[in-house]
Amino acid sequence: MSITKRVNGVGEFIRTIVDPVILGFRHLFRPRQTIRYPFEYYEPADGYRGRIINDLEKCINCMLCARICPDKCISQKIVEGKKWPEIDFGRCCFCGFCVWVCPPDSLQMTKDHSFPTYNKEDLFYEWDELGEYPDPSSWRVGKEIKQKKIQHEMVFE
Amino acid sequence: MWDPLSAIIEGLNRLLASFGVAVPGLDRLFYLVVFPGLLAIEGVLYFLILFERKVIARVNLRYGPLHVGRVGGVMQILADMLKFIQKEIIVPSRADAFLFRALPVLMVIVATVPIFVIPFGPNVFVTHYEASGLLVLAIFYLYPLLFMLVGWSANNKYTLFGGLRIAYQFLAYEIPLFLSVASVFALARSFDLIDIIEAQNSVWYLFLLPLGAIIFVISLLAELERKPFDIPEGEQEIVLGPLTEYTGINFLLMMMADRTKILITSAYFAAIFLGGYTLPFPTPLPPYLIMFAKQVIIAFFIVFLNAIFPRIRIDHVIRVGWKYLMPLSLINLVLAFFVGGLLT
Repeated sequence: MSITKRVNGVGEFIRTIVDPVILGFRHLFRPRQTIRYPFEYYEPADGYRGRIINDLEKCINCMLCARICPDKCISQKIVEGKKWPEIDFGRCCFCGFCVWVCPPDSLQMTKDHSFPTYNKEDLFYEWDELGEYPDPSSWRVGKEIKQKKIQHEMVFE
Repeated sequence: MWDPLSAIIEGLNRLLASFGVAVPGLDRLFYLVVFPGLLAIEGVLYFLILFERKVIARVNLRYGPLHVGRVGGVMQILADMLKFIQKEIIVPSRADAFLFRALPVLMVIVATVPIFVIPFGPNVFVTHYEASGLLVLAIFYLYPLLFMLVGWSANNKYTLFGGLRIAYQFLAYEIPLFLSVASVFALARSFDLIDIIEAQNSVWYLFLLPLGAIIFVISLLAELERKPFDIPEGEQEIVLGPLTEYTGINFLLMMMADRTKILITSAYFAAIFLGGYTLPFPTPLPPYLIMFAKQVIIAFFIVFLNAIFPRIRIDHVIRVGWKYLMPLSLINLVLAFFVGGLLT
């Protein structure tokens, strides 16, 4: 099957060569479809399953979240006789079961999708760390990411 | 006429004379090393590669390199080069180690050598040779042979397939390319690039031989292994073709040779079809700047085409070369004799 049999006549054959060139020239002046990710924040769509936070005032310490977790990444910590969930995000698969099962809706998923660390241990969020976003100034990863973190917090509020 | 090049050479001569040194043929040396020669080529090469990455990104509606350097990622290519230089040179254990290491250097040399004879002005050339038009083609035809040797020397199936693909493609497009250039030789009645350029003083050969120019450009893209005809380097099929086993500075040298060849052939195309260093109307610009501008514009356009076209299948490539371009180029040669007869 030669290329001349697929197109009708010489005119269309020439158009198959000239049209892409014109389209390419047009694309040079079209707006870009991508963003400069670490420097520009792009808010994920609603229902995005990002980092999990726990509203410590709503939590009834039932630990159903630890029971349903398929990755067993939620562990319990007993503070003053109450059980609080702790999440190892290095193991979390962001399935959202814990949020779904939570009776008082105290566990919530946020749109935060990037919390890189240098150590695996830093991905383990203790019970009080789950309650709030960490202070951006304590963020040790880098200037750009820190900047992004501030932007993210503003968006989230 | 405004003429910065000869002013620079004059100043250099005077500077050397003040030290009591007289360099015979300083202008030729200057042409070889600085302006139409090596330094200018390398300088344009840098921006050609940057332009290639930026323009492909732009056509894909992306940003491209942006982070390194203050404006538009201008230092990105330098960073890449530094990265290539500090990488280890890996020679496969079954490869022909001497050829494998020597060929990248040789290819850069072969790709750069034609600048010796391409004239950038009535007096701006390194050497004058009566058959310079033929000589450029002869050196240019060495390049695919070396590329085949590269494919063989690495002793890898992908490099070997790439080399064989180059052989097929090269055989199919060598003849149309040469016949289209031969039509120019027939029209100008000379092999000398300076004669050919002077003969286009009033009207460019692009308008006298449009068919020849089209054949030349298509065959040129095939010989350069640029995008519609990049089957020897088909990334999705044979990893990188003959370049598969190269790492570090050897890979950098092969890339440099590839881009240098684009620049040299752009200058050649400008000389034989676009009037070289002349313009059809009087200008205050010096001839070498005109030639340089034409060279750069053509090279950038070839790179721009790389962003647009998909790859053609290998049997289509061979068929277009043998079945369509070859008869058309013979017709074009006959037409050139007719046009030459009409002009004289």
